[in-house]
This record gives sequence, structure tokens and C-alpha cells, in this order.
Amino acid sequence: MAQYQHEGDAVTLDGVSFRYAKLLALDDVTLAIRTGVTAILGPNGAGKSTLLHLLVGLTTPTSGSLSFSLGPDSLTRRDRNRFIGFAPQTLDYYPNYSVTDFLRYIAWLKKVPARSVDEAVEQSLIRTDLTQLAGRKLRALSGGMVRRLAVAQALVNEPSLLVLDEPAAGLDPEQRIEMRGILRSIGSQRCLVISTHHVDDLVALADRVIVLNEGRITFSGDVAQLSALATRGTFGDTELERAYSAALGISGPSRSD
Amino acid sequence: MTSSVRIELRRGPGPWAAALALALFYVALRRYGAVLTWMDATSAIGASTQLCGPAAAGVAAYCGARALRRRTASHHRLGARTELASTGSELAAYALWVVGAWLAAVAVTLLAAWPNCSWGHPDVVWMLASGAGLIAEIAVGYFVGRLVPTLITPPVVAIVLFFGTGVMLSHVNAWWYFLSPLNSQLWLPFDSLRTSNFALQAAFLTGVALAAGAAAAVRLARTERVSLSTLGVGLFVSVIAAAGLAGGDGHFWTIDTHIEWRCSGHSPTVCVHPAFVTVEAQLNQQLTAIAARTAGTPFQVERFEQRPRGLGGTPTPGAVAFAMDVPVAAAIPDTAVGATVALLNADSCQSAPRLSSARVEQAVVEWVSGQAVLGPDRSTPDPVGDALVDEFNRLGDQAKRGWMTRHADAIRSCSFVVTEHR
Repeated sequence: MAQYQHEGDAVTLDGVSFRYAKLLALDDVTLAIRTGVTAILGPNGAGKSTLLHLLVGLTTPTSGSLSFSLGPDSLTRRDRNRFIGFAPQTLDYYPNYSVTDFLRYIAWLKKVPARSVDEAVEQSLIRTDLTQLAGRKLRALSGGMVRRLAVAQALVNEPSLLVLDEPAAGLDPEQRIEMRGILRSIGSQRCLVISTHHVDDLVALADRVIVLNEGRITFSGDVAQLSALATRGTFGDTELERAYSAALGISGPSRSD
Repeated sequence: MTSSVRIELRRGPGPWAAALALALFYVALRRYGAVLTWMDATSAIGASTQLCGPAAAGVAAYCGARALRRRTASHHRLGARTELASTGSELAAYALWVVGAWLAAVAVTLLAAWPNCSWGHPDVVWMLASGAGLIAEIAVGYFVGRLVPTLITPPVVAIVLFFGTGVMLSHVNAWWYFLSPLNSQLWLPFDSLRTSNFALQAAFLTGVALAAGAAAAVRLARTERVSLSTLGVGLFVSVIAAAGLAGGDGHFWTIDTHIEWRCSGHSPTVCVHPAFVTVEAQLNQQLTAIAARTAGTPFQVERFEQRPRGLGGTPTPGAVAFAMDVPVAAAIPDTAVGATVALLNADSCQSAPRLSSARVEQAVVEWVSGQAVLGPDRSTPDPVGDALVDEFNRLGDQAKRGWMTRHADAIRSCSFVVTEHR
């Protein structure tokens, strides 16, 4: 399998900026991703998805540098993809494929050795609780099942760097709890980067939190450090929400007041 | 076979496209008509892609647009495989289905031809060129679909290719005819295929297929070095092959200078092309009857030779040449008339000034050949000619031979006058 045991930082961003025409989506971001769960928080348009796309190599920075330590130094961009898994916010697929076909296809794209494909697909199905749906056509999956499939396909190559864009978006509370369990089980031995709107997810999952606002990092630290930002007069119902508001620089009357 | 090809074989549009292809091959082969020789069979296979090629290209355009329409291109960009590998596996899986259907149609055509074809063999290079044409149409359709991923692209691709190949078909003997993916021509005996032209056509179309497939991959990732180099190789091969074709004369055939015959019988000896062995006995019977009717006259004949139509050359001294295009019994009456016309030089009536002469000549040809002949226009009253014909027809066989001996020169020159006849 492709997993590569790296030491230190898996991905390092140094002064990275990214611009869509006139819009500056990321502004001078310096960041290191290491083993454990890194949660990226931020409002809509903060630059979370852009940052994730940079991390997985879907886009390249307008300025600044991005370095990977996911495998041997001689890796080409294509070969590096063997060590990366990415679950986009919206998973695109051919609806005529079955769940197993789709995972096999992604395993082929990721160059999972032919002799390991069966096991890799089975493990992905088990981890995401999709075993019962293995033969089902993708067009017949519900929204929650598709979210789990997105995680399953990102896992199929046992990536060293796993990047999940809003994995809990659109899920009902029960499904969110299930998803959290899945992420907890897979996040302990690799670099897992998650973007989320849900501050509550952090407590259960994140080793490290990064708050993005208008393309800039406004907070970087662990959950306890984030919680310490919560003060009276910031916006939110819970301590973490108030801390998040503080990290974003949003002030206002707390509803608990 | 890679895992992705296996998945695409089951889940892609190939299975239903192959069913459609088989139906279109059936229609095209039915329209082609009788397959009487191996060359006919080969030509029918060349024609089989006339309907299916454009339709297969249309479905390929739909297939090529899928990645962009479904926005799955990001999976390819995040994969460890090159774009050429992922594009190639999708294209290969689809092409395998359609080419498989074509191979089935080829097998059925050859099996159906088997009982009728006793000489020669199907031309492999010609068939390969047809197969390469089908693959090139699929690859071009796939590329266009990826370039313009709209819902209207597939039908437009199919229609443009159908009419485009139709236009090309009407320009046979132009060198660029061989740039078309469709090639089908009527084979005449004694013609030899210009195999080199088919080989160059196959190379050109293979280059086009390679370039189109690589261009489809480049469409997704413009910087893929492997795709760009494959695109370059495809273009290079097709340009070199096209230059080779342009340097030739674009002809399908060369008329053989060395004629191969199969001869049978004595007085007369009948020599036919070996492909006509299936009708040899019936033809021999007809030509022997002609020889019997002219025995003892200046038109006595010892040998009949089938020769190339048009530029047939001169028959062996003392022999009479005839032409026959297809080895089928229904063509024998016309062949007998043709042999008689050659024997009596009845073609001279085409420039004869007198209508009566043509009528008399017609009567002689009908008696000698034993076949009714479409003669000169009978709507013009010609009592003199009618009287002469009646008089000839009333004669017995021996008397007719005597009459032919007396009027041999007039028969050869189609120049009867009343006084001569009496």
C-alpha cells in the first residue's frame, strides 16, 4: 500500500497566496501540516476550499511556496498523488458505477497494486460502513451515503495525507455523529485535514485548529487554546462558538447573556 | 486488461453501443447486395462501416464528454496515472465493444461468402484499413466530445461524419480518397489490389486515432508530457502516410498484365478467370452452343477467353474475347450475347447508317447466341428490314450457316443491302 511514514511536517506552506482573477482567496498563508487531525474553520468564502485544493495539488499557489514530504524526494507530482486522498465537498461520479466499481476505479487511478485492490476496497467499505451497499449503483445512494463514499474513495489508497472538504455538510445530526466516529478512527495515524463549519466537531476530533477569515489565518493552535479566546461579548451560544467568533474578530451580544 | 478497462467494459456505454453497431452493420451489409467472391466480401466489409462508423463516433463523443459533463476530471487530476492512461482506458473499453461488434460482422460476412467463393482470399490489408477507419472515427468522435461537451455534439459528429465520408466516396481515384475511413469498391476480375495504398490508409487512420486519443487526454491536462509526445507521434505517422498517398495515384486497382485462366473443353476451349469456376460448366454449355451454330462458317470458333472489361487487350489469335463481371448464373445470358457480338463484330452496327442492317444483325446475334437481344428502335417503320429478318428466321439451321458464310463481310461490317441479301 502507498502509505509512507514521514517524520515532521508532511506539507509546508510558506507565504502562500492564491488569487482568482481580482479576488485574493488566500493571503500570505504560512502553515505546516503534520500527523493528527487538523481542522480548518472559517465562514463561507474564507478560503478553506482553496487551501485544501492547494494541499492536494489541484491548484498551484499564485505566490509563495508549497513543499511536500509525503514520500521520496524524487517523487513526481503524479506519483505524489499515491500518498494523498481527497474528499471534495461535492463528489462527482458516473451514476452507472456501483460503489465497488467506483472504489476500484479510484484505486486504479491511485496505482494501488492490483494484488492489494480487493483488500483496500474492502477496508474502505468497512471503515465507512458501506459494506452493505457495495453492489448498489451510485445513482441510488442518498446524500449521506455519498458523503461516506467520498471519504471511502479518499481512503482507498491508505493516504498519508487525507484531506476532507466539509465531510459533515448536509448530514443530519445522527449521520454527523456517525461521520465523526469514522473520522476519529482514521485520523490517528495520518495527516488528516478537515474543513468544517461545525465548531462542535472540533472537540471530538481536532488536534489542531486553524481559523481562516478573508484568506488569512486568524488563529492557529489546539482546541484548548481556541477555547481560551472565548470572552463575554463575543458571538455564540457555546464557549467554542464564542471562541471561534473571537478568532474571527466578530463581536456582539452573546445569546447566553 | 487493467481494472479500469474491465469496469468501463461493464459500466460504460459500450454494451448498448455494440448492439446498435450490430444492427447498423446488418443494414449496411444487406444494402451491399450479393457477395460472390472474396473480393466482394472484402469490399462489403469496407462498406459495412458506412452507417456504423459515424454512429459509433457520435456515441464516442457522448463518452468523451462524460468526464467534463459529470465533472469527474478532478479524479483524473488527483490520480497517480497519466491522463493518457485514464483517457485511454475509457476510450479502449468503448472501442473494444464496437470493434468487437465489427469483428462479429466481419466473421458473419466471411462465413456467408464461404460457399460462393472458391478462388482467392479476402484481402487482409483492405480489411485492416476498414478497421482502422472505424477506430479513427471513434477516437475523433471521442476527442470532439471532450472538446465540446454539449448534448448536441454527438448527433452533430455522427451527421458530419456520415455526409463527409459520403462526399469522399464520390471521389474515387483521387489520392485523398484514401484519407477517408470508408473504402468500398466493386471488384472486377483480373484487377489486382493496390495493397500499398491500403497499408498507407491504415497507417494514416491509426495515426489519426492515436493523435485524437492523445489530444483528448491533453484537453484534460495540457501539461502532460506523455500525452503531448503521443499526440506528436500520431500526427507524424498520419502526415507521413498522407504524404505517401499523395505521392501515389490513388487507385484502388491495377489491371493484371499477367492473366490467370482456367480452361476447359475442346472445340471450343473456354477459358475463364479462376474466380468463375462456380459457373464454368453453365458458361461452357452456352459457349459450346454458340460454337456449334457457327461451325463451318467463317465465324467458326475454337477458343473463348474471358478478358478484363475495357482495357482487356487483344485475345490470343483465333480466340474470341468476352467479359463477365460476376460469377453468377444470371449473368450467363448477357455473357453469351457479349461473346456473340465479339465473334460477329456486331458492335459495328453502332455506326451503321441503315436501320435495316441493324435489324438483320440483331436477328443473327439472337440466333447464334440463343438469347433475345435488345435491338434497334422498333417504333420506326422498316418494312424492308422486317422482311429480311422474317426471311432469315424462316431458314433452317444449316441454311442459316450457309447464309452467314455468304454474307460474312456484311455481318462483320453491319452493311446489309437488299440486293446483297437476295
